[in-house]
Amino acid sequence: MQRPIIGIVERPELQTDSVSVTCSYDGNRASILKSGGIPIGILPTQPISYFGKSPVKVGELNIFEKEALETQLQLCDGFLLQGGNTWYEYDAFIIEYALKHQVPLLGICLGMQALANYLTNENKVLDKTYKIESDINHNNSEHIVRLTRDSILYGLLMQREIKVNSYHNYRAHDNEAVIKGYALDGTPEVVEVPGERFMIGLQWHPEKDYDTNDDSRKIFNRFIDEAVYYKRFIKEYK
Amino acid sequence: MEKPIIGILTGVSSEHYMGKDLTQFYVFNDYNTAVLKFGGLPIAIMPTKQMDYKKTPKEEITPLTEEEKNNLIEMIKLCDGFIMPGETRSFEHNYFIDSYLKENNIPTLGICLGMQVMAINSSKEKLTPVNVEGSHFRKMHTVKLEDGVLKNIIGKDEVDTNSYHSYMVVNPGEYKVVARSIDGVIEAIEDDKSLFRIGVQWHPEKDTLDDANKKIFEAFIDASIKYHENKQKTNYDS
Repeated sequence: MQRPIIGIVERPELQTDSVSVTCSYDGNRASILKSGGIPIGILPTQPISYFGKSPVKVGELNIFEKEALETQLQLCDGFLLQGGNTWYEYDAFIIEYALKHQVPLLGICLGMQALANYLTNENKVLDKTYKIESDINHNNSEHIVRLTRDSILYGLLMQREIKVNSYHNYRAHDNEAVIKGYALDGTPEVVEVPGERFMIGLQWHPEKDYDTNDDSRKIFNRFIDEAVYYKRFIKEYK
Repeated sequence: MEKPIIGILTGVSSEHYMGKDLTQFYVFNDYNTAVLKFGGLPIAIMPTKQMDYKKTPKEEITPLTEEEKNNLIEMIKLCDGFIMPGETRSFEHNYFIDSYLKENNIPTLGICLGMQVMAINSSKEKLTPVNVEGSHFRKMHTVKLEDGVLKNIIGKDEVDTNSYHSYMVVNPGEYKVVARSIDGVIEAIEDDKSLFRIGVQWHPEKDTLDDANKKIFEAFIDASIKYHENKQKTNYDS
């Protein structure tokens, strides 16, 4: 059977010669390929350009932009919400689509925060993260994550405590209904949509140590398996 | 009427992000914006080799395996049209993709390096540096069009275009030369047997207010719509 298509949600970036681009980070591409998926980049359907250090304020998606984005999403059997600096309304739109159609979703770092934010806050797009103040270093380090007993991740990895890399300064708000893994200082590290087969956000970067870390491989393998399941059993019968 | 899916091949970069040197696969916003403006849906196509595209020295790059080729083909099959954009470096996959697009008569617009890939793939001859150094880099110049599809699209004998290249095509192989700048440098090639196969040495996406550039994109998207409709028809007939 054909491999599942995984849509990587592209992130706006500013290259050093002041040219604005959207991009996918290599680890995401490589990990999806290695686990048996086909990655494509979902390019924004609305104008987002940099003029300076931070991105221009991006307006709401209009109806044409939403239709265009939805058509792009229909090509995919799974979505990967990458790390980055900021998330936009299109991230919330993609999460909403995934929830509605039960498409497998993996959020990484910022992607996890966007997912946690979506599930917890009334305003699905507003950035409700806050700066970490803790003895544990979350920026360019490694630390322990303790998973809850009812988490999908615990079932997958067969361990309550795992060691993860960490590259963030901000954290999501806690919400016991959806946060399924914590650092030992209480920082949310795993978000899972309750009742869904695989709609998960991780505050760390499994794609960075795919080759050396069993857990990272298991996560991506499961993600791709779920995309295959979606393609075979859910997508075609709509 | 359904919009056509336009694949845009990504370039490789390793810009600094959060202090880290990350390899990324990017698309210049201008391509994305142009495709959306003229009624297409852009997706980013990433290469499939399991290697660091930025850091691996040229001598160490191995040929594409069957699996890597098949993965590329799966991505291209999603597309109704394809843009081979400007970049500084090309890999084996640029040529593989060009061959596949040509053999399957998928509308293709080659821009800058994209045009050069078309020519090299046909003539097997390397590029030559532009005759007068710097004369085609970051300048405007006048281009004279010769009889052919491109001239019919643009509707004029002569256009002023931007220019961002240091190398030029001397041997276009099987392609017809359909435009030259006043100093004789080849500025556009085409294959008039294909549904749409045109390469331009300039960057039409950087100025889509210009009449000639608008017409190029309109014709490209029209061809992609036609390809999409034919694809639907054969799906229903089979």
